[in-house]
Amino acid sequence: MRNRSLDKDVVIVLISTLLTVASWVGFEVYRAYAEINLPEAVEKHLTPLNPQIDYTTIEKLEKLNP
Amino acid sequence: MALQYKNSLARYRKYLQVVQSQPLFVASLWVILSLLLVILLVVMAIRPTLVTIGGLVGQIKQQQVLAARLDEKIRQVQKAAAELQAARPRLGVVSESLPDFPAWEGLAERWERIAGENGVGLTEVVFEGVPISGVAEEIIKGERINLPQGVKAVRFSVTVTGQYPQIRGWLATLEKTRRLVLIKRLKIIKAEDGSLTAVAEGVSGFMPASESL
Repeated sequence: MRNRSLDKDVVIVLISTLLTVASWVGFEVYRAYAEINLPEAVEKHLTPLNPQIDYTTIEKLEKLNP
Repeated sequence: MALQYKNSLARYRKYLQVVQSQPLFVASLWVILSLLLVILLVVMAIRPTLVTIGGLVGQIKQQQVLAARLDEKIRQVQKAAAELQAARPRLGVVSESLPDFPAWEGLAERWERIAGENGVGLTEVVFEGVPISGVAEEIIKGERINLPQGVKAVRFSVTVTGQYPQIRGWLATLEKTRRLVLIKRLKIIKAEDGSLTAVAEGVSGFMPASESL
């Protein structure tokens, strides 16, 4: 009986360990998937650019005296 | 020595016979060893493989997103170039308003002309030190002026004499010139003979080509 109780406990501990290890592996995989490695030079070129010229300001300037 | 070896062998043989006679114990032993092996394989073999695969899939996705953003940026740059080409004839006023060098002689000439148009006498024009490099904030007698990024200031002080309506007209014309001028302080002094002297202090900006956005 004592041996059976010990075996049962050991199996429970090992199953818990296996679940913990599986969770750890899952989080590691997600971290590797979500990690962003963007070179700084590329990031600089990705800043948005507004291609519209502000004609309102140009019209205001044209109305002023040279 | 031989007797000890025989005793150990007999002990192990007896142990195996005991194990064989207890099937539940054998099964438990198999389960425990299997779990240990699975844990070892997950940690040593499956984890590095899955992490590598996950990392590569993430990089593929990241590169796809990067390619899409770069394509969008290229479209924006092409559109901006086309807009610039279309607006190029009208952009001269921008250079006139905010030149890429101090151009103080143009300022002084303009003020002289405006003074003549409004009938005021231009008695003094003072340009203070023109910054070649340094911070964007400019100080005029302890007062900080926040200028847009990259814009440098030409600080000036102009003194004119005349009647009040003429001085007002001169100031109004000054503020409506294309070369951008910011009047920070205006002082009007009345002399004993009744004539007025106006001292206007302010800044005019310029944007060196190296500082362009």
